[in-house]
Amino acid sequence: MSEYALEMLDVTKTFSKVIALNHVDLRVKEGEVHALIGENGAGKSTLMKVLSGVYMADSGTVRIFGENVHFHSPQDAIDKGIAIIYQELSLIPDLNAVENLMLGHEIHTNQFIRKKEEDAFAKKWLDYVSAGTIPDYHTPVRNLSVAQQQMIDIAKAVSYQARIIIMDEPTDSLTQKEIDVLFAIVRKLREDGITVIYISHRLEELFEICDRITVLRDGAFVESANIAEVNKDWLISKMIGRDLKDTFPQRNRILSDEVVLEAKELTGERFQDVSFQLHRGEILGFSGLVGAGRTEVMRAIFGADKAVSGQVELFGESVKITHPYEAVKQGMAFATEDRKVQGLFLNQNIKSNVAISSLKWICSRGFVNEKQEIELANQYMEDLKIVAPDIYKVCQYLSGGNQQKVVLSKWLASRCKILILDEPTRGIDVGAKYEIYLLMDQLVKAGVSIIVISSEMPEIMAVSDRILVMHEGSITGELSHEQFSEENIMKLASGEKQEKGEFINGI
Amino acid sequence: MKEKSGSGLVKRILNNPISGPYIALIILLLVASIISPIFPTFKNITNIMRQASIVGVVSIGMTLVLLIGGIDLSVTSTMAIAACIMARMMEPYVAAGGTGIYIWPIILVLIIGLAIGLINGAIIVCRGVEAFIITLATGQVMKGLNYIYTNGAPGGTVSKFWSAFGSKSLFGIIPYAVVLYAVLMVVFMILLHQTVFGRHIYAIGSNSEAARLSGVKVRFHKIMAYGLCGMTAAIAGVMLAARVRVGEPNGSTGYDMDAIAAVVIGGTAMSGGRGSLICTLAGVLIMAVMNNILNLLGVNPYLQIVIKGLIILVAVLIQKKNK
Repeated sequence: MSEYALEMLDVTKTFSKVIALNHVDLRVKEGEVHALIGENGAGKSTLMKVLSGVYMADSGTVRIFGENVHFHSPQDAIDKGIAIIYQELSLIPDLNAVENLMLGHEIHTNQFIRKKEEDAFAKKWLDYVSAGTIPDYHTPVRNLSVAQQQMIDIAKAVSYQARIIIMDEPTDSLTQKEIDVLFAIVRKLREDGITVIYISHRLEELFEICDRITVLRDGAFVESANIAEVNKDWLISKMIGRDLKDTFPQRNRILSDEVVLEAKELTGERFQDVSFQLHRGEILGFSGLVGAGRTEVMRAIFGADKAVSGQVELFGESVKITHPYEAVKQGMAFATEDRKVQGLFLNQNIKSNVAISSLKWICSRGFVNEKQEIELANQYMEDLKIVAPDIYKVCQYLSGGNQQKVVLSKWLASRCKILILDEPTRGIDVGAKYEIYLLMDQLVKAGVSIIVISSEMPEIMAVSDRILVMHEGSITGELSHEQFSEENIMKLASGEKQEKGEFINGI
Repeated sequence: MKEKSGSGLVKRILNNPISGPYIALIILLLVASIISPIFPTFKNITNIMRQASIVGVVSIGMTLVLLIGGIDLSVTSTMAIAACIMARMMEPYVAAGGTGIYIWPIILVLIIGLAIGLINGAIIVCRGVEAFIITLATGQVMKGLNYIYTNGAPGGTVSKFWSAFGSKSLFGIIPYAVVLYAVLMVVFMILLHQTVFGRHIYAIGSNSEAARLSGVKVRFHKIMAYGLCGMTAAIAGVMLAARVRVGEPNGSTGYDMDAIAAVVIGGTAMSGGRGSLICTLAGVLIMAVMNNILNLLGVNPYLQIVIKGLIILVAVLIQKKNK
């Protein structure tokens, strides 16, 4: 038997003249956790889709445990023991854990399902992976958390004797606690001889969980290495093909006295007594675990959800915002966490997306001035370095980073004074992240005030002037720049209250 | 989750998606019984059930199609074709003195119904077009073909067996049409809840891409759902012909909308993946009881249409709110 569980050699895949994979090699040893990294569009997903039978390669060889294979459908790959845990979960929301786990592999006699045997079989694997953290295997999985759904997905893969499991950005929407649980599962899989291919943008976690690493860039193989022999800078330079001095731009932090937004004892369905001030030209970070209520507070301030009680003051005046329309009118902007669902008109082009919130600036007597619209879009395309052939490119064909830049362009064009960014760099590669940080810096210099919600601690500490930490719907503390440390944030995020005036020693 | 206390039980009943339409049905029955003394009589109830059975059979297939996130607007045409072909084919048999079941025309129209459904499904799935517009179009085509075939006039007849099926009752208690509906309900409920096919139907409606990646044959199941819908529509056509004893090309008008309304009132999501036949049954009964009570009260027929429309509207709005 070959030393390698998986060998993909000289794999090439083109989509109507665009080369997605250019003679890529990937060798993964049996029983290792192998990281696959690269910027968006580097070809990671395409390569994995070839491996899992979703796409067929134009040329190249795929060997599983030394045996040449040709996959024509996802089922072929499943039959050869390859399972993929997709970034967007591939469970059926209306089916329960057992039914999901058995989907496509039902235990049946003449098509009649043998429910008791399915229950017993599924329970064995669900217990193996989740170790009792899923309370009920018979509730529709829509009622479970993302982490729990992911466990079911993994249990499903293991249950049909998968020998190679691909995880595509598995920690993207997990809290730190859930990530720890996931890593424990991955280690358990490794101990049991299962090979894991691990795709992630979060470079830090690779060092914690992976054994070896392969870097792709622009659809081509760059290098493979043992993770113990490399460091983060090496990874970044290999990914972007050049040295990047720092992941985060340096910022001057000067706090103005002018308060542009003040929330007073704001209470909603999932948060209580939230009070804070946002100063002019400030970047205010909101940290906390996923589900701490950060997004909900912002939605209430923006008028997207109703607040039960409390007050909001904008530029010193008490306002009652009950609809996002009013918020935009007052100079607020909200770039949502889920840009595909809430932030972009995916099937429209860049021009329309950029102009949608600033039509009032570029229209006369109700008619849109097309010339101005084109100018506006071209200007932002240039300023934000949006990579696309022209402003008529439909947004769904842009990469994640470029989509995010379009969202930002839209709000910048609206001449907003207060910008709320919810997880602005989620799913975006290192290079584009850097540009978005630069952009935020330029904005605050121009007098815009920014609230940024982020679950990535290095990011929020690097970009914020102050950080507020939330836990289960309440603000548990405020950290000034000198107090920034992962330890301090974690303490507050896990519910430890900050005493008035107490100085948490950090740094 | 497994509370056994009284309040827990009430909560579980209220949380169960089946409860909503049945609570509405019970309230409707109580109100109807109070305002009309004729309503709760045995004869009237069997009458309601008989009327409900044809819409009910159409709604079985419609539930399947809605569960996979589709819709079928061609069912009325399928029903009409089935009824006309059956009645015309049976005419020489009856003229020759036949009174029996004469199964061949029935089998033929069932196959035709299945085929129409499969064609609908194949076009929708393989070309990736909206089910709404495709079934609207194929329905028109078949309606026209049926007019050409029948010259637009009622024709043919049914044998004594079938006229008895349309008007008589099992042991003089349960109308045969209702018996057939009940049998079909049981068969399709087993299909949906006990078989691999049924589970895959729910999976596809809930998230078809995820189902595909799990190795489910999405296209096959979608096409089959339309096929079965065509077949139940043909069965409803047979029931209709048996009831009016003639093949009437216009006799099935309105059954498509009634069936869709019944499915939706029952709580099946138009987007697919959620709902069940037992809920659809409640929807069918609500529609039938409404019809009946409005007739018993002698409400202006035009006003009846308004009221029926409003009821569908309210039912859907209540469900939306509960989510």
